[in-house]
Amino acid sequence: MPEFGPNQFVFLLHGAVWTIALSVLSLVIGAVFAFVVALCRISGSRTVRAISAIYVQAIQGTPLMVLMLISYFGLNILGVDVPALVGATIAMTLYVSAFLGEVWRGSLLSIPRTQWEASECLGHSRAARMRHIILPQAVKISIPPTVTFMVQIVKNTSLASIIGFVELTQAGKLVNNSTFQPFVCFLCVAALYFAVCYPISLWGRHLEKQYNVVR
Amino acid sequence: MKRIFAAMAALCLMASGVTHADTLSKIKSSKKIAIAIDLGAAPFGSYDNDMREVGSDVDTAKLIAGGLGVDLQIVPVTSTNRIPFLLTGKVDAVISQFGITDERKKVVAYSLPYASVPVILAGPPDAAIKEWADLAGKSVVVTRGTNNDLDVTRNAPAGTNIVRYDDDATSMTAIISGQYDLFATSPALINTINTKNPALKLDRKFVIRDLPFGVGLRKQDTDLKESIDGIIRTNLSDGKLSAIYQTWHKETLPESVLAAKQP
Repeated sequence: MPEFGPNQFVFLLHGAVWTIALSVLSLVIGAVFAFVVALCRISGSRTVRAISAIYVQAIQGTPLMVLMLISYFGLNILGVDVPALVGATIAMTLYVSAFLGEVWRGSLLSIPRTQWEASECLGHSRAARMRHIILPQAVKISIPPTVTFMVQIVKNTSLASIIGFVELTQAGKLVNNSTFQPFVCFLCVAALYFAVCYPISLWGRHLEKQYNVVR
Repeated sequence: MKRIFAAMAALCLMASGVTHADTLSKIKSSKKIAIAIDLGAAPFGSYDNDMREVGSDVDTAKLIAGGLGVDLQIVPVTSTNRIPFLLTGKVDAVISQFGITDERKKVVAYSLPYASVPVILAGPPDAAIKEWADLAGKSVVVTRGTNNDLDVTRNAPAGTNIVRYDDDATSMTAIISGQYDLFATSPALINTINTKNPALKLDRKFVIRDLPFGVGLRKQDTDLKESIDGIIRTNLSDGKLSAIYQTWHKETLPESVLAAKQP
């Protein structure tokens, strides 16, 4: 029976690469949609607000695992054959867009009413007001919750194992199952997760300092 | 979880017309067959020291792919998601210690059995357990979505604490690490556990049933089933399947399986 050694560790590293790939894909694509969701949620149109609210409620009320199953197996039923990475990315993107969208909406709304009004008095258009007055302030406020959410997303990618995507957790399970050395195996898995997540936290702290979030 | 998968399987069934109409010709033209194997269940499927796929199901899959004259693409699955993988066309066949049962026959087709193993209830040497009734008040580990899960759920007396894990690897880890000591599974998995943790010395308390394994296929793929049945007959006759069984399970292939030999 195999023992935990360099080969096994390399296998875990491969898993970690896929964890990072899935996290980056879903965060980048998800962030774009999240921004749209945040804007829709504070839109002037009641219909847009209602539709985006329903969207957010629907996604937030569905476990990520079910989103994974739907996007991987469900799309297949519609005749679209998606690879595991694509299926997982779609599910994670939906998830990120709803949750991060709400985080960012909160950040936008936390800018005092007077700032919005002052901008209007200056004759700014909606876009100009967003770009020059609201966003620069909202971005600062949103940094800590966004970074926390990013770390969560990295860890949530482990749910993709359900659709056969061999990311870090699944790789750990597979290695453990052939070596049966759970302690050393999962300790390595935990260390690799830490190695991915800790730099994100550090980067977040750096941003907070840079933008002088804590006033 | 189980309900989610059941719902998915039902959806898959409704849409089974969507999957490739003729899997056999697709396999032949692409020179590749995608077979789902649980690589978390030594000795059926796992990884060796160089992280290559090995095991009795892996060898059987190689035989089938070889018999069809195509390349083998292994898709790792677990006992819980192998049926959705098959029914949504993610794989062409399932060779994943897939026990033949009447319930499953309602949704999938099976080839001839290529192996058969008993399902046993195993426990520590000093546990006084001889039949189902002795399980009352005890904790029994099963892997979710397996026949063993069904059998234990159906037969265990009231007061039995059934502990379900999502795959064999996790179930085995729970036993090896000493969290629980009763496990309903195949003797092969118990052997693996005993080699990893010799202090446990788990042994057979009673046999739950004999479970024949078949290659799981989509119902409409009758041509593929015919080809695979032929390959299994040939390999039963020339002893290759017996050799695989002997290598991985340290026992001779049961007569019930050999009965399907080529006349």
